[in-house]
Amino acid sequence: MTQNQVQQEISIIKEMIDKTRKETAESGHLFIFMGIASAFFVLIISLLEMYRVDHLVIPAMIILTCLNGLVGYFVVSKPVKEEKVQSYPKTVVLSLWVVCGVTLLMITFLFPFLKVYTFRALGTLASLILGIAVFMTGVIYEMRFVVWYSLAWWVGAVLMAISDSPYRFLIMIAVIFIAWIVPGFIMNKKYKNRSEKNEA
Amino acid sequence: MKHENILQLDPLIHAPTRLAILSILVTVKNANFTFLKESIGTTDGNLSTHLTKLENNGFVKIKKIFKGKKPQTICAITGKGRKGFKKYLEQLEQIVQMQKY
Repeated sequence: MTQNQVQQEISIIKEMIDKTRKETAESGHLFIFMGIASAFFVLIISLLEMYRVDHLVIPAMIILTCLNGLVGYFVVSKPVKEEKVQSYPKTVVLSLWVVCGVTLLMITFLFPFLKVYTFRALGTLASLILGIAVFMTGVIYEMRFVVWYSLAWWVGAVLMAISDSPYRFLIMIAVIFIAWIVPGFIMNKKYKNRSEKNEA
Repeated sequence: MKHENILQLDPLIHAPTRLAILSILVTVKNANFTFLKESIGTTDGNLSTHLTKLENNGFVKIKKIFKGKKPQTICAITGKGRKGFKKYLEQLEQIVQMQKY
């Protein structure tokens, strides 16, 4: 086998791996759309509580949770399952976020009604769980900036735990923006840059 | 590396199209036929032939499913295929080392 033939074979391997990597790159849509949907959820529920429209809180939570679920399914889960290539990291990350979603459902709807804790603790608990999910997503995708941004969830959890302010929900919205939506946009920019580079 | 080792490069993987197929499949859980065809830049018939050869030798497994009413061919590398590809890479590396000296 000549050196040229070896180089040719190595080029084939490299080219195929690069093409696959481009196809399986994370677009950031999960972070952006779920972040926006969650911020909307927190805002509506918090405003209803602030203006003492208590009888609408539970129905709003149910409706908004269903909406979040639909966003998650149509924007994230379904497209991932329909992709031409299934990568191991994406499968793991999708499973991680499904599990996170189930846990959030339980802490939002089940345990407050079982009087394990009051609704006041929801923001703190949700932040802790979402921090884990964002952190692990950054680790799995080897995106260090996502790992760093995830720390904001735990900072937010502490701030919400110690704050007595009725505007505590703004901390949650700020954390969602900093530690979910912003990393999502950064991921999306990198994804688009990579696509443009490959097309050039 | 001795010359007899060069001759032992797996001829199953040595073909460019099959090498390309395994290079893709080794990095993913599975890939569909369309992606393989587009990435490698080959025809349906040519790709089918090479996939069949790899499947017959236990290097890939091929599953035909329906997504809605659309048939899809999903390909994944097997453990045997992964080992074979890894061995092939090691042999390529040895050739490169040998050619340096």
